This record gives sequence, structure tokens and C-alpha cells, in this order.
Amino acid sequence: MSGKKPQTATDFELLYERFRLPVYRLIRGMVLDSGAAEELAQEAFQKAYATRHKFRGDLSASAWLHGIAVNVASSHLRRRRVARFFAGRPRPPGGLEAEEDRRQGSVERALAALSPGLRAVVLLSLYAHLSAEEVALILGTSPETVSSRLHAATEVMAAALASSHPAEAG
Amino acid sequence: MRNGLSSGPSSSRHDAEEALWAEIIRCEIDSWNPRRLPARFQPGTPQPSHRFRGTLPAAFAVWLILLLAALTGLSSNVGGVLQNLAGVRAASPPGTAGQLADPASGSGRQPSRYNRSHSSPRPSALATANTGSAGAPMGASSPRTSSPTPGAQPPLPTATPSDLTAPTPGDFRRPPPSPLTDVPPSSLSRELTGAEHSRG
Repeated sequence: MSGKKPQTATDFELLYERFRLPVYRLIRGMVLDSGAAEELAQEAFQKAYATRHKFRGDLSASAWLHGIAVNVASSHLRRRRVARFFAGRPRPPGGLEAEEDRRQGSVERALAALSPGLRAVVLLSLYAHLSAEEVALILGTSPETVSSRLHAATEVMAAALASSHPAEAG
Repeated sequence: MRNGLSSGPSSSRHDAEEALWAEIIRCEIDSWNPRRLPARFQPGTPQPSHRFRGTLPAAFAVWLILLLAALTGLSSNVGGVLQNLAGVRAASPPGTAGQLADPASGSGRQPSRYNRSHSSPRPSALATANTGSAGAPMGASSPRTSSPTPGAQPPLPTATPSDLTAPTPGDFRRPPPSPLTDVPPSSLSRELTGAEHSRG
């Protein structure tokens, strides 16, 4: 199913069942806000369903869906940045849920240290296990740039984890 | 990462690091589970209203209102500064200190113009001032300062017995209701004496 074009509603339902959690988790890793990630995951699937006739064969269905998810998450991050600019107050991402989420993981802290662009590269490459060519197609860049960005991102994440856990890093 | 670009021994370390990171990320991210995301896809359901779609226009409106308020306050301050400057200019000429217009009349800038055009001993100034307050220093009597236009009817002054004496025929410049005690400048006296000489 992951490589098949979702032509009918049934196909899309299968796609949704297969990628519901991965898409949600990727979006949550992008926006670092669990509540917003659920809304954005639904938005991403609605967009995918509305534009399923545009799906071509140059990408797998997994890459196609994850690309839509990354675009939705990036738009959300842009809106959030603009909203914070007009609101004039720095605010941590998300509300109480995000506050709870921040307690749990070091990976989330490491992802928070990255820019949205590097976050997308890390999540698409290391979590969604897409190839560099697919990531490059999604992000509109070259596979070499994807590889170099991934390398830079791992260094930033390692530094972030080392600063948050100096004892473990030493 | 299945990028297929990693080749050679130099990239083996990067591959190992990336594999380690992939494992770490997968272990943690796979524990993230949604609370309200539906298990079945429902096509055609309206997209969830985004939280920033409501706050963004409101925040923009507040920002716009604050900007307008700031601009309005700035312009009113500029107006106040200009009025103060006009008041200072009205008070600055010698001999007119303390003769500013009545602030209650609301014509703070008019005395300066009036004073400028009538304090000089030019004949044209005297001609235009032939309405009863000719040559009078500004603010000498406050009702007259509020009507600086030459054709305006001045308020009725308190007449003294000397004002009620019949005017001389050639004294065309002398305003009937104006008391002579209010016309001290030497220019006007000179003009009056000149009229007497011409008549004689």
C-alpha cells in the first residue's frame, strides 16, 4: 500500500490506518506540541485526500504523505512565529500538554535545538526512513544537501543533549 | 538512512552515528500516541479550526490600534508644542511681556500675528488698524485681542468722559469708541499730530 496510488476512498482509508501514527509523530516532532500535532495530522490527511488525484508515481505514498505532513507542520510553525511576533510575548511551544511533553524526552529537547528545516531532515531521514533522494524531492533541495544537513543536525543534537545531561555526556 | 550516498570509510562513522540517532529517535518518538486523533479516516470532515486563525487577526487589530493611538498622541503633542512656540513668540517682543492673549479665548497664536502687523510704525499698519484698536499693544485690553481682524467690531469699551467729547472733523483715524488712554504708541500720536497739522 505504501507504494500504491490511493485511487479510491477505501485505498485512502488503508493509507490512513497505515500512516496515522507515523504522520502524527512526525508532525509532533516538527511542532513539538502534542495538541497541535493531532489537529495538524487531521489537516494533513484531509489535504492528502483532497489532492490524491495529483499524486504521481515519482514518490512513494509514504514519502508523499510525509511531505504533506512536513508542509502542514512548517506552515503551522510560520503562523505561530507570526502570531508570537504580533502578540509580543515569547511563549514556549504548546500549552500544558507541551509542558508535560517537555518533561519526558531528551530527543524532544534535542529536536527543539534544531531549526525547523533541520528538524524536517532528521525526522524524514531517521524516523520516516526516507531516502536522501526522496527527502530532497520533498524539501526541494539536492540529496547532497540533505546529507550535509543531516550531519550538521546530528552534531547540534549531540551538543544539545550533552549540555542538558553533562554527567552522561562526560 | 537509506540514502545510498555514503561511500568510503570516511562516511562509515557518520553512518554509525546516524544509525544510533535513528534508533534513539525511533525509541522515543514511537512512544508518542495521540489522544484524540480518530482511528478511522472521515473524508469531507471540515478541517479543524486552527488556533492561530482566531488570534492572529485579533493580535493584528490590537497592534494596529496601538499604532494609531501612538500616532494620534504624537500628532497632538506636535500641535501642543507648536502652540507653545507660538505663545513664546507672542511673548518675546519687547514691550509686550505679560500681554499674551487670554488663554480662555483659545486664540493663542493670533496675538503674535496681530502684534507683528501692528507694532511697526508703518502707515499701512496704521491704516489697517483703523478700527478702534489701532496701535494698541496686544493684550492691553483682552477683549480686543480676541478679534484681530481689522473689520471686526470691537467690544464696547468703558467710555471715559474725555471720549465723549466731539471729535475734530479731520480726525478720521480716531475710532469713536476707543479710549485714548488705550492708544499710547508714539506712532499713532505722531499720526494724530500730523493730521492736526494738515488740517491747520
